[in-house]
Amino acid sequence: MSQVTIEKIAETVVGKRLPKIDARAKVTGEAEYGLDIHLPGQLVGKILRSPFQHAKILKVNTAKARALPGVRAVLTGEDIPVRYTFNFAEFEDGRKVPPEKGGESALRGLMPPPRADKHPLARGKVRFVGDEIAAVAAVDEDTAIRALSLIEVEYETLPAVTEIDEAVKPKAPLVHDEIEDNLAAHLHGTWGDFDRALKESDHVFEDTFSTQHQHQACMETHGCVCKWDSEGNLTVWSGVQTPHTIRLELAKVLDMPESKIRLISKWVGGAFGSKNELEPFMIICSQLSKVARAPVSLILSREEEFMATGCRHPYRVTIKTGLKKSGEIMAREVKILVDKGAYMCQGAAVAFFAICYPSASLYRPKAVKFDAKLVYTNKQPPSAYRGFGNPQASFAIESQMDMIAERLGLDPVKLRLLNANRPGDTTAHGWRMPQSTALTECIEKATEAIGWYEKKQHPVPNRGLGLACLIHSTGERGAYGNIEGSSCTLKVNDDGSVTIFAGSQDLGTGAWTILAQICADALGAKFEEIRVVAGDTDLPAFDLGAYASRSTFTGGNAVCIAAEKMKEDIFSLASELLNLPAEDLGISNSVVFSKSDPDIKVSLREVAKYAYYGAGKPKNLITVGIYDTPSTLIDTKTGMWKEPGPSIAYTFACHAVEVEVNPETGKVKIINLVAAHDVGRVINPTTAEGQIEGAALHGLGLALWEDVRIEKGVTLVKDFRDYFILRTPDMPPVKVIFVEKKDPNGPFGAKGIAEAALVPVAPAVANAIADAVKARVTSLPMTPEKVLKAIK
Amino acid sequence: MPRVYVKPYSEFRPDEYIRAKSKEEVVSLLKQYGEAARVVGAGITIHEMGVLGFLPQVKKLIDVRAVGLDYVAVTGKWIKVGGSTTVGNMGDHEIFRNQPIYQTVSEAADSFPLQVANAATIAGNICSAVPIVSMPPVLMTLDAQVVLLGSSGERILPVDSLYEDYLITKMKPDEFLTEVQIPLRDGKGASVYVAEKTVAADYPTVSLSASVFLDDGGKVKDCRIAMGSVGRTARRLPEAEKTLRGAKMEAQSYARAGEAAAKEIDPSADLRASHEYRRILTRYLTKKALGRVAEKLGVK
Amino acid sequence: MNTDLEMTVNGFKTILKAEPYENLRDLLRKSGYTSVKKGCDVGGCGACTVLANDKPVYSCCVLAAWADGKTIVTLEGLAKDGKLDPIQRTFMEKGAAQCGFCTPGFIMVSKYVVEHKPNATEAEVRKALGGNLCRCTGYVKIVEAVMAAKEQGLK
Repeated sequence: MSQVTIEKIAETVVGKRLPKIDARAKVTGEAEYGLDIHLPGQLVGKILRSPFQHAKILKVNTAKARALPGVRAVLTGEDIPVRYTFNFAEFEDGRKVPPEKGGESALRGLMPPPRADKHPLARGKVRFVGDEIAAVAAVDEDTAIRALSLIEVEYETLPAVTEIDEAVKPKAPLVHDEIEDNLAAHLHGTWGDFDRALKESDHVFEDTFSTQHQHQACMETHGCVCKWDSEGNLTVWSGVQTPHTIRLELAKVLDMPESKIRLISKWVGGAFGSKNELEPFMIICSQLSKVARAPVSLILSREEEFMATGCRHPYRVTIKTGLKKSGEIMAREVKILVDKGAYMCQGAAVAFFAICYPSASLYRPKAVKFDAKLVYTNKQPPSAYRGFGNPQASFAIESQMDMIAERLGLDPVKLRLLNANRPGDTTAHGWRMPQSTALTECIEKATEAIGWYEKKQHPVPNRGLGLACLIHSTGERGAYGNIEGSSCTLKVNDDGSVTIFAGSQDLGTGAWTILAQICADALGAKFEEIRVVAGDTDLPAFDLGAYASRSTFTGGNAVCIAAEKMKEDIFSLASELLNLPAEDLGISNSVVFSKSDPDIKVSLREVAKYAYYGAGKPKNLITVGIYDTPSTLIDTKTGMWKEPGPSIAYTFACHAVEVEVNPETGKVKIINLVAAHDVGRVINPTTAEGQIEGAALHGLGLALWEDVRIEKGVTLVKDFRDYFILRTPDMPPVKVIFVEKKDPNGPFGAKGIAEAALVPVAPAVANAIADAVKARVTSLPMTPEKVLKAIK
Repeated sequence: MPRVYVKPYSEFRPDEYIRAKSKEEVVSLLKQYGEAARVVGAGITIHEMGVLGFLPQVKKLIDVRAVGLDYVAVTGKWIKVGGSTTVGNMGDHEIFRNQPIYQTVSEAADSFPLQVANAATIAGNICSAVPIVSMPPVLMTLDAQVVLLGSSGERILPVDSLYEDYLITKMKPDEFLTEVQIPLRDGKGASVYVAEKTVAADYPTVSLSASVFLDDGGKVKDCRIAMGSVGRTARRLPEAEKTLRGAKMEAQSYARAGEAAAKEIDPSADLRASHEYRRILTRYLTKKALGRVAEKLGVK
Repeated sequence: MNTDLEMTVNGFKTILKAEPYENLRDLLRKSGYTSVKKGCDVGGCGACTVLANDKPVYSCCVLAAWADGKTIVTLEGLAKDGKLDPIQRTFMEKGAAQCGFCTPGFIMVSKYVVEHKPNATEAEVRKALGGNLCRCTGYVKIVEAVMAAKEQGLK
């Protein structure tokens, strides 16, 4: 584990508002997303989906479709071998390999192994409306659609179970015949002496909350282009978060070596968690392309996107909290009932995250008890979504904090300050809070910025204030094997410019720009002369992907390490050129100079020319940076972590919201939103703000409107007009406050930010509504109808 | 258990796009092709219906842009608006923009997303017969009528009696809408458009247009209230209007009208709201609209 | 049956062939104007916005044939001689493009606002952008970019 000392490095580019390095391609329309790729001879792929929640497939007759001129491939479940079942992070061969050796996911200590319950095209039966049944590739979209309509499927419909309360009843229809109670997973346990902590509590409160199917609704729908060459190499173009791990899963499913698959993912049209696992369309497309012996493009329609790609899991969360008279939190119990839909996807990991993050680690409960049941239903399967279980659990915990404050007659701000996590704290499950922990400061700054106490003294009718806090991860060890790492290759080109071949992925967040900024200061190179080449599994770099708010931290540290090595190489060559000892050399703005006499200098370009053409020995300016955070795995025997836990730099925030509620209609108008985050050192304020402002949109959507309404298993949302995402005129001003406390492990002191800002928004809004109209809404989204009902 | 065979897609595949050069040609094409033909402006409605699979029978699209129906003309007793006029251009016309009696038109036009207002024609908005669009109730409150041209000549129908049911108008297959006519009126009057939406740029959950004329004594001489999204078609609210006639423009009258409105509508439930909530919004919007009309009329 | 459509796209007169049922977005995309993005099919997201005779329209929900005789501008047509349009510059500078997928549509509407409503207030700008969806930015930096471009004028 290599650490970089950053205090000594001057920050000239870090901390600046620089335009993103890929911005020009985006404002000119040059950026090429999956749907823009057009290869010679490319065919169009389409998927036939189940119209039933639950049905046996009796017969699929594809003869007519195959006979249609222009059709080049038709596939059904029977055409794809049985071993092609899959699930995120399910290491079929690796099951016997312990996580320490890179096998199963380390979270398995407390989780059942994920069931590979999904076949890319249904075999035997379909389990939700939208389940993939068959697929075609044809010369154009018209022909492909016509071919789909010629596929004859005979079904025998089965009783369906679409509500969790029904699904857990004895004799309920079974979504998967071999799972007799529809229980996809059950996670339970305790950390600390829960009974004692509860006994020592003066007050105990229990409340239940529920959340909805929220959809990532990326502007670019899922899709890919696949192409095989005659040697059996597969190239996939697809905008994803995790090129390496998706390739790993795809290789496993297709039973071929990883290196024979190249996944190119340069432009991603939004992801938010929805593009970090292997999904059926990619497997289907690869098989269509193989059969048709031509490139195939398979892009989901907006309707397919809403009905069949993973959204946020609906949770029913019951929180029991024990407190001292003073308000000090002693014990917390969390019970979660998850509507898992028809397939597992990342459901267990998401639930575990919801348990670990706010439930066990927000504030300072001495002991924590948890019980999460994931229930199969005949509905579309949710999966990962920005926040990964944290928004659901935080809605419950932070709503309840205000309810408790009201019941005990305490000030909700002071109650939170009393319980706020502090640097160096160890949680009930063994996590150590970093020195950069600044929850207290976040609460103080957020309440101050929104004018909390002045406004409380001069209340305006139907206006209210609310706040909510957050803990989130920066990276998460244990999602895959036993690493939380990233690598890059750094090359000083023969003209002195720098190329970073990065494993890190950029979803539009600006991660690649951040790497370039870090590189500029870590190496002493001109920012304008740094290029980032990434988003391609064939590059000399590796990364687990862009999830868990990890790219700046892990990718940035990898760049720092590569840059340190590069400086050694540069100084060693420059010392030959300048006849000075390497220790006397420094580098800044792509110029190497003597520290004792800064007038003696040589440009990086000259050093590079010397390296590649003149040194008289094999010397290239290429270095590698490999980084892994000093985080820890769970101890599967005790169910506890060794410090510091899965993340090395937990982040905190406090959001304060002001709302106005129309008492006649129940409509909530957001007047102001203040978001104070302890992000560590801010590398680029523009992109950091962008993450928080964008997360606010998702958070407010979760709070107020967004809901993939599913009735009797049928997804009613077909396009953006049925799915209510706040528009420009609906958004309040978002005031972002950075509490910049440098993290000792972060690159230049930075921490993660991408997911965090979504989490506290919904509970802050709920608390503000309660303040405005004395009505508590415990179920999301808080539509005008629900608010009105709560008022009356 | 039942065995089911499902055919998943229906097709919208017209084979010809015909640019008509005159109104007469439009009529003769409609007569020739019947149900297989549809008149198009920008094609917004037709494209959407097509995408939704409602128009498998349509084979001929008849473009009417070249037949000269893009105008707003104030003549004699009427404001005449050609069927091809975009909603945006209509809303921007000074008579709708500046004269309180007709302002509901501009206010409704402004509620469209720019990109729709710039392409959608008034004829398309009316003939789609979708209850959630905003212009039909607006036109109803202005006593507008439409000119329909067919093989048996021209006929005129008030917008108020144009709709039969969801997606169905009283137009014959060989007719098309050439003009909207709004009577010019004198007197102390004003109109407004209000809507309750989920998020900006969404279709209204409920929309309401109101037009009120006062007599010399400051009482309501005449009024119209019409709504969208509260039933299978856009509709007038005669009961609510009745409570208002002869009344003073004051809070009690608005509330009474709101109650009557909520009673006489028959809203359905959808993703935006339940039918009960639509009644609540109807009460609210009636009061809001009448309050705003009163403001425009300078009623204290 | 294909129809010949004569239009000016990004300053060039051109004849494009379209099926009667084809929408303008699909026609433009297959003709190489891939900045015109497909985010939905029914005018819900605005990613396909182009200027038709100087006014923004959803190219996904008008028929291709509607554009016959019109002047169409897509994002590809904004930069002149390698020089970015002011609105493109401010989108870059302000960080208004994150994933970039909605960016073409937003820039086209913004271009119209900057040119035709130079005195628009922030609230009016926000309203004008209401027909476009962005899932990344919360619209904050987009509004900033439009306001900045308005202040800088059309230079």
